[in-house]
Amino acid sequence: MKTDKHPLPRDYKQIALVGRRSSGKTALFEVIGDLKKQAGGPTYEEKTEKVLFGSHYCRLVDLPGINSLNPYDPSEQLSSRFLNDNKIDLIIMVADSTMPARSMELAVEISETGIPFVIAMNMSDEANKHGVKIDIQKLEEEFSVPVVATTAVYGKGVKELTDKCTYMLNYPEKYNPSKFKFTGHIEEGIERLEKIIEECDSVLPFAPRYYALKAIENPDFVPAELMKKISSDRDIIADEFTDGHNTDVFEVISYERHHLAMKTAEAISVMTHRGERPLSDKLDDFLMHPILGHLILVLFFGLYFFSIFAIGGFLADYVAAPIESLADVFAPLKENYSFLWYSINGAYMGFAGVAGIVLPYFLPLVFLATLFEDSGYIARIAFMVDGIMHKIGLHGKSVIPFIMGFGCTVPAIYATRLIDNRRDRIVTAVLLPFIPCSARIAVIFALTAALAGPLWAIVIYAFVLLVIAITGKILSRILSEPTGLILEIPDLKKPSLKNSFSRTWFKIKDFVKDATIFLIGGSIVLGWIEYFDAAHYINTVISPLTEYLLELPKEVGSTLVFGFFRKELIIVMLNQALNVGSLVDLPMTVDQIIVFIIFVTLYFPCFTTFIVLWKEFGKKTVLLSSFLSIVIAIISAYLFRLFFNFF
Amino acid sequence: MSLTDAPANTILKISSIHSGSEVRKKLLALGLHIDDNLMKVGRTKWGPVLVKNLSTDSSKLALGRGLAEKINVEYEN
Repeated sequence: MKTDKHPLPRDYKQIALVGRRSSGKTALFEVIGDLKKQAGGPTYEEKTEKVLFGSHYCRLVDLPGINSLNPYDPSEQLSSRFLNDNKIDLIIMVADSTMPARSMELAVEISETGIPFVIAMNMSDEANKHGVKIDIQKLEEEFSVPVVATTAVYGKGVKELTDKCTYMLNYPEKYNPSKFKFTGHIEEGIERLEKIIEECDSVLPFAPRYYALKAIENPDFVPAELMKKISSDRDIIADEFTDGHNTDVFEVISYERHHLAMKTAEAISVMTHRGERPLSDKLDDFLMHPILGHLILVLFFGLYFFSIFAIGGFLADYVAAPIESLADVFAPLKENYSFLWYSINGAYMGFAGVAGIVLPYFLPLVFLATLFEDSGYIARIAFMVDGIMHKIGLHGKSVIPFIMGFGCTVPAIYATRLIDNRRDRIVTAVLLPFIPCSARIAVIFALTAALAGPLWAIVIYAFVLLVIAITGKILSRILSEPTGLILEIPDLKKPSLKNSFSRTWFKIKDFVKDATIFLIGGSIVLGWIEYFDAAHYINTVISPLTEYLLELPKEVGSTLVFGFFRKELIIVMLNQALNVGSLVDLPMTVDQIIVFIIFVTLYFPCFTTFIVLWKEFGKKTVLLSSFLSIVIAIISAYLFRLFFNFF
Repeated sequence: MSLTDAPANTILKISSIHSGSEVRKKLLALGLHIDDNLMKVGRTKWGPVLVKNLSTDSSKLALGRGLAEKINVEYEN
């Protein structure tokens, strides 16, 4: 099936996989594309693959899941935009057979576009287990398009599906789907608008009916010049629809489709036995129980962090030795080519940072996060924590990026994509840098253990969480009212290790591609700072803050610059700056160390986070976040300084 | 009565939703419509409300408390 060797000919066909989230689209994409790349989990950007259907060279596109062609969150926008702006020759609508009613509504919408489509009733094995029988014959009659029952995970029915697609591509003229008529005056109004659009005879990728409906329910999906021609008629017809009842015209159309979908769903699916409640429901009684649920949640978090640090620590030690041995490969350069040595040493430090500290913690973090995302437990966590999150002006869905933030801020920023409301996404993204990532946790533990004792670590943690809560509260006051939580709770299912492994691999590649260049680049700059012995100048520049305001030793200034690039460097540079062998004999009092840790934990996310935040949210958000971080770090550290001076 | 005051584990019918059109659109997309039958799962005095949408494949949906207060339901006779 795969045709990677030669590029696509000019007249290639484009096939889009469309369906609701977790309906098995990506699994189907894999089997058809016969490639084992990424599987399972939410798709954030579309993925494409070149495939061969009969004699047709095709570009198969796997789009993020959507509930309807009227998009809500960023990934849904992407799918609708893609379908709108590209030539699509065939749509494979992937439906979750366990949820026939919801899939029918999307199928009706797709039939309106006029683009030839095939329906894959996926997860058919799962449906049988749930006692849902789908009458494929009846479904084909209803839509008069080919329908195939598939189970993508085992590749069942996929051969038949691709044959049907090839047939559709060979004889596009044979495709005349049944037209779903709305009721009485609404249908009459839409057909009037359809005729007007036909008269405009501008070349349009979709059928006139699609534009007639979209003009009424979601105008910004209609090309501007067409909208200009039909907007007066559109308004007359829209008023006709709503004068009957006071609902918004959007709802009138949506109800029509809903009733059509319900009628079809009842006709094609029959519940054989509901039997006893599925295991997932029974489990939920415990997982979402007001008291028990929270206990399990605390236990779960404990286990989650413990295993991250256990596995992370083990991997870090395992990798430490070989990385160290690398150092003496270029050691001899030091005497005569010292500039070269400092640059290489900088790059080496960057590499050692990524491979030695970031990746060992990143691997278990992302793997475990995908595991419980796959199982559906993450929706339960979001549900349980919504109450607390609401207090800081957010809602349950932000908990997912927050959890990942404890491991590393960068994957957490990617995870904010699943939050649909733009405002909530920005507030979450701005708060994320305050969550101590694994590097900062290592700094806090190392310094408190060496000089101040573990009790202080807890105090610092509590203070940081307090800062997050207060900042969240202030931010949510300034920005508009937070929207309430609206979250689908999918059935719990056994997470598939295969999916989690391949998705972790895909994310690691993503991270290494984005982060490594900046990490190593930044570290080379650090090497030069060392070479030109610029530390002295940096110290004096920052001394008003470090020496006078926070009453810390002057030499600490340069470690802040190093910390900007990579947090874990702080410990190494602190020793060097105060020329001591190990942390224990640092010439700093307990209160100086605490003030220093507070400042370092809050003052700025790392350079990589800065870049990823910029790429993901744009200049305004990243500048707001950086300014906020520095201001809050100074205030917090100064508060602690006052506290210590007082006692 | 509002969804938050409704008893749990009894079949309810949505009579009206008094929220902004943006939120109503989102609920429509997730399959929550006026006259749909749903059942409230578990009864808590704070935090989000969990409902099972009986008329569309009994999919489960968690709604923030503020939003749940804006959804009016009646008993399904």
